[in-house]
Formats: sequence, structure tokens, C-alpha cells
Amino acid sequence: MRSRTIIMPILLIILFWVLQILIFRNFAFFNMAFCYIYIGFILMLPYEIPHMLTMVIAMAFGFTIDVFYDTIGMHMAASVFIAYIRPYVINVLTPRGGYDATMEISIQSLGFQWFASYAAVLIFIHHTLLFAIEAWGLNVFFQAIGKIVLSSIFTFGVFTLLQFLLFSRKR
Amino acid sequence: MHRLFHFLYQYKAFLFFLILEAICVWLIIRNNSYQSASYFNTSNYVVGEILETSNNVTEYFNLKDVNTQLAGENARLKRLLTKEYQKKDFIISNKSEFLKANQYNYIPAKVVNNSTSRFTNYITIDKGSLDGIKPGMGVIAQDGIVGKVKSCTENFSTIISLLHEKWSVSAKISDGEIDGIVKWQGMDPAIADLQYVGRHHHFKIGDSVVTSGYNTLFPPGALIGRIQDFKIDQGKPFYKINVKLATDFTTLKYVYVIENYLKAEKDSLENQSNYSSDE
Repeated sequence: MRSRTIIMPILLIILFWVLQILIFRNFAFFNMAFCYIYIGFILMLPYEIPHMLTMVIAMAFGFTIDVFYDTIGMHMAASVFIAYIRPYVINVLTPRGGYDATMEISIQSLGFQWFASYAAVLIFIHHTLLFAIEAWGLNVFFQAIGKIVLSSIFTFGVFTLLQFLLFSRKR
Repeated sequence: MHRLFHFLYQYKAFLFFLILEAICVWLIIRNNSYQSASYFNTSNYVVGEILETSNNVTEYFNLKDVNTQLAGENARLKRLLTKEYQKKDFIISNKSEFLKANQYNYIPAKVVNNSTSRFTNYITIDKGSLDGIKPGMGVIAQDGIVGKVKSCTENFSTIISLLHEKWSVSAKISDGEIDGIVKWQGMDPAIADLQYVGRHHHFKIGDSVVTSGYNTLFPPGALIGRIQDFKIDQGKPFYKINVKLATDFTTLKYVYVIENYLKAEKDSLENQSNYSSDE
């Protein structure tokens, strides 16, 4: 279990970073829908990692994304925020009977319904924060709302697809 | 005292979270302050190298378009050259005129990173201070203006795109010598506003909008776009004019950075006389 909590995040970092910077950075549908798949990394971090360390990891990871978007601080702020509220969201979503001790955040161990609501809530909060910071003080409020909704749907779709493609194991 | 420590311990995650967010906000504000040279952006060496490698992979898919664009520009330049040769009376009489004729130098550069769909868009190019690029220079492409250099390292530069909510450029409608300011609206990468054109002016759809000579970034008369439509509300002093931008930002591949040899002279003169140059 111990080595798993160290190796898995490293593999996840590489995977999501490559996906975000080399692939999804070049996509924007209708100039409205963006895919910020990189937060999938923060969503999938093992639950055993201490809360404060999660925030530091999220901040560092947000930084590596920010330098490529020329938006220093924005992705960092949004990532730190979802890293902070993640345990509370997991608490609120506790299924009947509670979690197992060796809980792993994935569709396999927690079911599609749980996972979808978990991802949807955090992705929506992250995107709201991100576009709100970006549009700060500008007269683009309504466009920002469109971007938030469409991008959330896009990211959520890609993230769910990724779960089924890469992280599903035959039992 | 004990209770204070207990309190701090109890809320340590929240306090830690506040500290991290404060750092983020500080970074955002510092980065957004106009013209501040920031280190952590796409003109950083490591970031630039990765972007260039990534771009090297994708550029093969665009080779055909790029070829067409470059051939088109070659033809245009050839035409200009012939015209210039045919002007027999182009005689330079003194040093000042010679300097003005050769005032602008163009440094070609390749776009390695570009965004058009955010509210604040930036472009990264593969030339930097080693090639003579300095923050504050203007950037144009073959069809029209592109933006202004924000910061540069030895081998890369970051450009504030014209598609940036907080940037604007002084312009005029070329036929009537009507002054205004071109500013992006924040949504459509092909359309910008021409602001502050008073209601007493006359112009028509299709008139070209070019840079005025009031700033030192661009040579006067560089094309920005053409008037697509305009309207004026009852009681408003200014027209609302939509300009179709000449540069297609979504397919931008090569740009030219403009070096203005007389920029320092003009700026210092204007500073002396307390003008603020309008950019």
C-alpha cells in the first residue's frame, strides 16, 4: 500500500501533464469549451495523502500548468481550492455503510454514480473559480458563464472517458 | 495563549489554505500589472523549449497553408519593390530623412504558442533578446498588426496579442483621417471595436482601419482591419464600430517584430513635454 501511494501519483502527474500541455492545450470548441483535464490528477490523488500535502502538490502542479498558459497564479489558485475542499466533498458524498479503510478513488471501488457526482462537483467548482479569476473586473460576465458550463461538461466527459479507457481493470 | 494555539492547530488546514491562496493571488496581481516583466511565463527557457518541440510535431500538418501564406507575401513584397524602383524622384537629401526612411527594422519570428480563446491572449515566438528583441516592441504579421512584446528571454519572447482585454492600439480610418482606438471585445477572435469616433464623422462599411502615427510601436498606416458594421445610439457621442481584423489570429504562424530606431528619441521628447504616448 505504501509504495502504491508514492508511485501512483508520480505516474498520474506525468500522464495528466502530458495530456494537458501537449494535447488538450490545442483544443477549444467554438472558442467556448476548454478541457482542463489536468485536475483529474488532483481528483485521483490517493486519499491517504495528508490534506496539507495535497494542497502543496496541487499548487506545484497548477504552477507547471500556469507557465504554459501565461496565467501565473490562476490555475494554482483554482487547484489549491479544490485540493482544500476535496475531503469535505468526499465526506458529504459518503455512501451508505461508509468507506472502506483502503479506499481508492475510482469508478471500480466506488461505483459510477458516486464517482460522477464527485468529479462533476469538483470540476464545476474548479472551472467556475478559474474563469471567474480570468474574467475578473472585465465586462465579460455572461461569456464567462457560458465558458464555465461548456468547459465543465467537456472536461467531465473526457475525464470519465479516461477512467473507462485507462483505469478500468477486468475483475 | 494555550487556547490560541489550540485554535490554530484545529484550523491548521484552513489557515494553510489561506496562505497558499494568498501567494496565488499575489502572483496573479503581480503578473497582470501592466508591462511588468515576469519571469515565469512562456518566454522562460524550459517552457519555450517544450513548446517549440511540441510545435515541431504539429507544424508539419500546416506546411501547405504556411507555404501559401509565404508565397502570397513574397508576391506582395515584389510588387512593392518594383513600385519603389519606379519612383525616380526618391532622393534623400539629408540625414534626418534617411533615418526616417530606414526607421523600422523587421525581425521575422516563428510562433511557437498561441491562444485566441481566452479573455487575455498571449503569443510566444522563437526569437528573444539575442535577436535584438526588447519588451515594448510592436509585432505585425503579413496581413495586419498582431500585438506588442511583453517580456523576453534570450531565445523566446511573449507577446500581448491584440486579442487582450486590457490592451488597445491607437488607430485611424484611413480614408477620412478619423482617429480612434481599437480594442478587442473579448469574445470573437476576428472582431474588434473601434472606439471614440465622434458622431460628426463620415465613413462607410469596408473602409480600412490602420495604425495612426501617434504610437511608436507600429509604422503609421499598418493595416488593422476593415469596418464590418457600425451604429450610433440616440444621444451617444461616439459610434459603435465593429472592425473585422485583418490578421487571422487562429492560423498565425510567422510574425515580424518591429524595431523602431527612433522610438527612444520620440518617447523621451514626449516625456519631456509631458505627453503620454497612447498605446
